[in-house]
Amino acid sequence: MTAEVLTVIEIATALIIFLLVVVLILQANKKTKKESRMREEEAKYKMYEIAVLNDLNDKIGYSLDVQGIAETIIGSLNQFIDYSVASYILLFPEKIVFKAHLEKVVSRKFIDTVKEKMIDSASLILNANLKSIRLEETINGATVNEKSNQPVKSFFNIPLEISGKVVGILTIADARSSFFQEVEMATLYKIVKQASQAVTTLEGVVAAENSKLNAMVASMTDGVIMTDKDFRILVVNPAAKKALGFENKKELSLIDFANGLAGKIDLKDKVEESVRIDKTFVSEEISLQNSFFKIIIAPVRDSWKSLGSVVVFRDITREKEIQRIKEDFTSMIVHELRSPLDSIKKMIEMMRATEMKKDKRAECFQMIYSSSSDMLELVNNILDVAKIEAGKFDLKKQPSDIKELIKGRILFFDIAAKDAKVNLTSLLGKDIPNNVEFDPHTISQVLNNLISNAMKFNKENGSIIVQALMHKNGESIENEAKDAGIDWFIKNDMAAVEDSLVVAVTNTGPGIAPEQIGKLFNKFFQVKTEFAQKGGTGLGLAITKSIVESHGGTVGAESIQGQGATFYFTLPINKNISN
Amino acid sequence: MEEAKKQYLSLLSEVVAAAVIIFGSDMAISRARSVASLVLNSNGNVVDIKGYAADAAQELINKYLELSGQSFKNIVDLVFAKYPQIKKVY
Repeated sequence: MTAEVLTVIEIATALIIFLLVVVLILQANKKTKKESRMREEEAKYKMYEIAVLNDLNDKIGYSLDVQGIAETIIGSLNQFIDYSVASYILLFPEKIVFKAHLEKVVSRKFIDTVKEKMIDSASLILNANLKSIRLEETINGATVNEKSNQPVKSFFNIPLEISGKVVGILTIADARSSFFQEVEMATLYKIVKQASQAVTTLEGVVAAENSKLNAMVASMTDGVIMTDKDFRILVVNPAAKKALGFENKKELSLIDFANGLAGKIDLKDKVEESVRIDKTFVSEEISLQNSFFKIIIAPVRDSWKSLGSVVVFRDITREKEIQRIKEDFTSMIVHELRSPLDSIKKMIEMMRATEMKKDKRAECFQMIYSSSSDMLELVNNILDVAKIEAGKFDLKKQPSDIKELIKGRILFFDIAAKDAKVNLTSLLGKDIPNNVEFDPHTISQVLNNLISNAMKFNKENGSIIVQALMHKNGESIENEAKDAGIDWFIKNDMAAVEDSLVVAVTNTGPGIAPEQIGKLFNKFFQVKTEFAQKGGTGLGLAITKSIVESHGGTVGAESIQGQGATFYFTLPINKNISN
Repeated sequence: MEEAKKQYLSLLSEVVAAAVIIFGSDMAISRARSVASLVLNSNGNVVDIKGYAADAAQELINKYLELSGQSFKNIVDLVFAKYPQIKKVY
């Protein structure tokens, strides 16, 4: 091979190498440019994603506004992709909201096709026929022009899912075939997913708070119904259902309640009027299911925006009963004061009008004294009750002998008992200490009340026995009475009662009906009993109860109708015994 | 063509058809085409599967589940119910 040939081969080789290097450089350059373009595209989508999410945060913030999310995404869409129509549907129980933003002029048919595809998507997801549901339509942006006869050739739907439930569909459509790129669609899916997750999280927080609120509303004794601005019931508590006898109904509408209240109040009209004129209504007393209610209807507003209304069923049955009892009580007190006052007035008139013999005058003075004493006792009782209610009933405890106190009271009532033809005696346990700490003045008042009641409600030639004995916790009081030589007839099991001194006053009167025994020590309900019919305010037993309870003891009563009644009280020894 | 593959082709065509309704044709077809082992015709029907049918089905369904989890799963459950011989792959 000649040197010339070798030179040509070398030149050709060098050229080939040079060309290869050039091609490699060009390819690398092309690849770099492609990668650069891809990075630019990626950056563009990322920037858009960040911008839209920021925008969503600014506009929607911490709210559950799914419509706001759809509006914000559609509002920014033209910065990101080219399209003809962006639209959304939101699904509500009674309607579908459809909104379309026309970026380009399209025909009515184009819009209807988009709408149909969205409804089909939602229907398949929810496995429901949504075509018959009322649809509210809003269209904005470019004009609708029938001359534009371009059909829908590209579209994609993004289901709007909140807490795992589809609440709407977002759709982007275009008249060009296979127009949208996967990366564009994926970016929008990502944005919607992030926004939906934020709403879902917030909805979880709100649901937890709602659950607390619902538990609170459910436990309220007043009936509560809350409605939204379209008067659909959002919350109804058991008390509201009970007020109208709807305890077993699960699905309730405002119409159900309006029907239940027909003829008493026009609930639907009042609720609507309350929201319309922003005013609270309070009904007259309404009788429902053997109870009395006042119905309060109030609008619920957030700043200037109406959120709905609240209906409260306020049960005033107890208030009415208390009011009636108080009125009865006042009438009784007035009557009890008027009788002795009337007697005093008549005595004085008689003494002024006629010349009286000395013994007759003395009799009149005795009657005036007796009547004024009755009034004073009544006033003292009322003052005692007032003190008890005000918590100002002071005890002056001191080591005292209950046996001496009982003997003293027997002596005090001896003449009155003889006048009433009643045999008054006592039976006292031998082991009763003489240094039990109690207030002798108030316990004396207790014994006075019990003995005077026993006389008042006894039969002629009847008897009263005042008994006292010591009781040990866990022991049978009947056995304790037997050991003490006491004839005990209280059947109540007192084994659980702590170590106590027990005092009982038993009469042989007509007895008390079982249903009235529980009410005897109540200062208001007592006025209904037979005691009231026989005269007296009945306050004595209420005062007795308060005095004994102030000593840490209990009061009780037992009766066998036709045979008599026993009233007893206990004074705990551990608290009241003196060292 | 073996019966099992026929069933898979039919099932996957139904899955794609449901996805077209739910996500729209652009997204549904784009996702289906991104599964390399599937061959789709111009109507979006799955006409061939290269490789293991179960793997292809799993890949396709996962791509749709990424878009809408529970909603699409409910639909796929209904489709799979029609093909008791095919084991669920998601």
